[in-house]
Amino acid sequence: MTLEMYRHGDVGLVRCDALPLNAQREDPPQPDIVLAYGEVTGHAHRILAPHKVSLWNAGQQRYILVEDAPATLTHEEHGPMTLEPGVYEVRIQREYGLGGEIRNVAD
Amino acid sequence: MPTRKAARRGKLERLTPDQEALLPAVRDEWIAIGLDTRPSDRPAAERGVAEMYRRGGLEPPTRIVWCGSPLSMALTRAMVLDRAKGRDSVWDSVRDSVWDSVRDSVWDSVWDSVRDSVRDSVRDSVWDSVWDSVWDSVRDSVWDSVGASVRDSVWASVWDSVGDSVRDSVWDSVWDSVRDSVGDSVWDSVGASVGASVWASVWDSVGDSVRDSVWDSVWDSVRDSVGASVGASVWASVWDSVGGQHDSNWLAHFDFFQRIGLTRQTEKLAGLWQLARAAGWALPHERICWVSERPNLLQLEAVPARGPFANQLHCEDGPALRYPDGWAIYSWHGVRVNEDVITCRPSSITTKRILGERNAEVARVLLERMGAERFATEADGAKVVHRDIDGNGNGSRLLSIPMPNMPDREARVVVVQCPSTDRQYVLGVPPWVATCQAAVAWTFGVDEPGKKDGELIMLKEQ
Repeated sequence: MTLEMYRHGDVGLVRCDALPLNAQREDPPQPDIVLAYGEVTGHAHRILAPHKVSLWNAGQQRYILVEDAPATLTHEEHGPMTLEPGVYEVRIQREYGLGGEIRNVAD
Repeated sequence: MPTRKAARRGKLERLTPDQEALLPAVRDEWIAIGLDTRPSDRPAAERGVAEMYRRGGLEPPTRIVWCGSPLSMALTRAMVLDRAKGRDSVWDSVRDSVWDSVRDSVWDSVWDSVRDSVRDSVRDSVWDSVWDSVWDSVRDSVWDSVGASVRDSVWASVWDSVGDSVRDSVWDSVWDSVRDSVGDSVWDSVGASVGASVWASVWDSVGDSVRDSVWDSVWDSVRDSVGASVGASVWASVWDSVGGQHDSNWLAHFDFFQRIGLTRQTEKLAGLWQLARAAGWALPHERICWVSERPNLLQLEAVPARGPFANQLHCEDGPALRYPDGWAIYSWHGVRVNEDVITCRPSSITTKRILGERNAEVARVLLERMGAERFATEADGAKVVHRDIDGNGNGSRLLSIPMPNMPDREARVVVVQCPSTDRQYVLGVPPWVATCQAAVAWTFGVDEPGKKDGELIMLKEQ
C-alpha cells in the first residue's frame, strides 16, 4: 500500500480510498471549511466556497470529501494547494517534546 | 413505593427554553467574576464572610483581616498560629529559610496582616516601633514580644479552622438537596454548559496555579531545612481556604439552580456567593477570618484545542498573574516557571543552560525563547543523523543533540524549510526516527513510513 500525503504548513492530508463507514458529516458553521486556525496568528487553513467539499468526522479523525471538481486550500502565509476529487484524512502536525510528550505544533 | 414516586415526580426533569437561555448568561457572569482583577469590594466581602459563617451555623468572626495575596494569607496564618501555639522554634527556622525567597513587598503585606490579627494583644507602642524600624534589626525582638503576649491569650487555643463548617458541610448539604430536586439529565446539562466551562476558564487556568504556587513558594524554600511541620501548616492553609472568586465553577452551577427557583435548596451558599463576587480567597477560623485580595493583573491566552472557554496563564515579558502585595506567577503557555526564565533576555540563554535544565517543561520554554534555529546551530555535539533534499529542492537535516538530563538522553530534531515562507523551523521528533522524511511523516501521525508494505509519497507541499 502506498501512502499519499499532502502538506500545507502544519496541516497534512493523507489520501484515503473511501470514508470510514462510521463517518458523520459535520456542518460547518461558516461558509468556508476551516481545517485549522493558527493559535497565535489567527490565520486559517481554509477551503474556499466549498460547494462540492464536505467535512466528516469518525471518532477523533476528520476527513474531507472533494466531489466532482478540484478544490483549493488556502492560508494567509502559504501558497494555495489544489486538491483533486477524493477523500483525505486531515492530520494536524504534532511535535515530540524534550520530556517525551507529544503536542500539536503551535502555528 | 409511593414516597419515592412522589419524590421523583417533584424532580425537575427538563429545562424550559427560558431556563436554557439563562445558561450562557450565568456562565459568562461567573467567568467574569472568576477572572476579575479589580480591587476587592471590602465591605461587601466582609458582609459575605459574616453570612458565610451564619449559614454554616457559626457566629461571625470577631475579626476579618485582609491579606495581599493567598501566599501572604498562608504565611500570616502560619506565623500567627504557630506563634500562638508556642511553636516558636519551628517558625523561626522557616522564617529564616523562606525569608530570602519571598519578595519584601510580600513580607510587608504579611507583617501588616499579622499585626491586624493580633493587634489587641500587643501594645500599640510595640507595633509603632516595629513599623518605623528596619526589618532585619527588629524582627527578632518583635517576635519575642508578640510571642509572649499571644501565647498567654485565651483565644490562641480556640483558633481552629472552621473551613469544614462554612465550606465543606455547606457544599455537601446544598449538593444533596439540589441533587434531590433535579433529574440526572438536567444536572448533567447544567454541569456541562455552566460548571465545566467556568472550570476550564477559571480554576483550571488560574485557581489551580495559585494553589500550587502558594505551596511551591514555601515548600521549595523549606523542604531542605525544617520541612514537614511548617510545610504542613502552609499546606493546611491551602486546603482550608475558601476559593472565593476561584470557586466560581461550583458557585455558578448552583447559582443557575437558584435563579430557576431552587432558592431553598441553595440558600446556604448565600455567603460564599457574596464573598466570591467581592474578593479572592478566604481562610475562615473560629474567631478570625483572613481574606485575600484579588489579583490585580491577569494575562491569559485562550486554548481553543481544549474547548471554547479554556484558558491558560501566559505572558512573554512579565508576570502572568500578580497580586497587590507583589506576589506573582510567571507562566509560559500554561507552564509555571521562575521569574528569571521569562524576564531574562533571549540572547542570554545558552544551549548549555537548556541542556543543564532538569525540568523538561522549563527546558522547552527556554528553547522556545532562545529559538530552535539558534539552538540547533549552537548546540555542542549536535550530530547530523540524516540529510535530504525535499520535493521542493530545499535541504533538510535530522539532528541528534546530546541531552544527558532528559529522559531520552538526546533531543532529536528535524530542521526543515517551509516552501511558502522560506522560514526554517525545527520540530522535535522521537529518538527512533532515522530519516528526514520519516521525521516529517511522524509529525503528521504517520509512524512507520519505512515499513516494507508501505511507502510514503509526499506529493505536494505548500
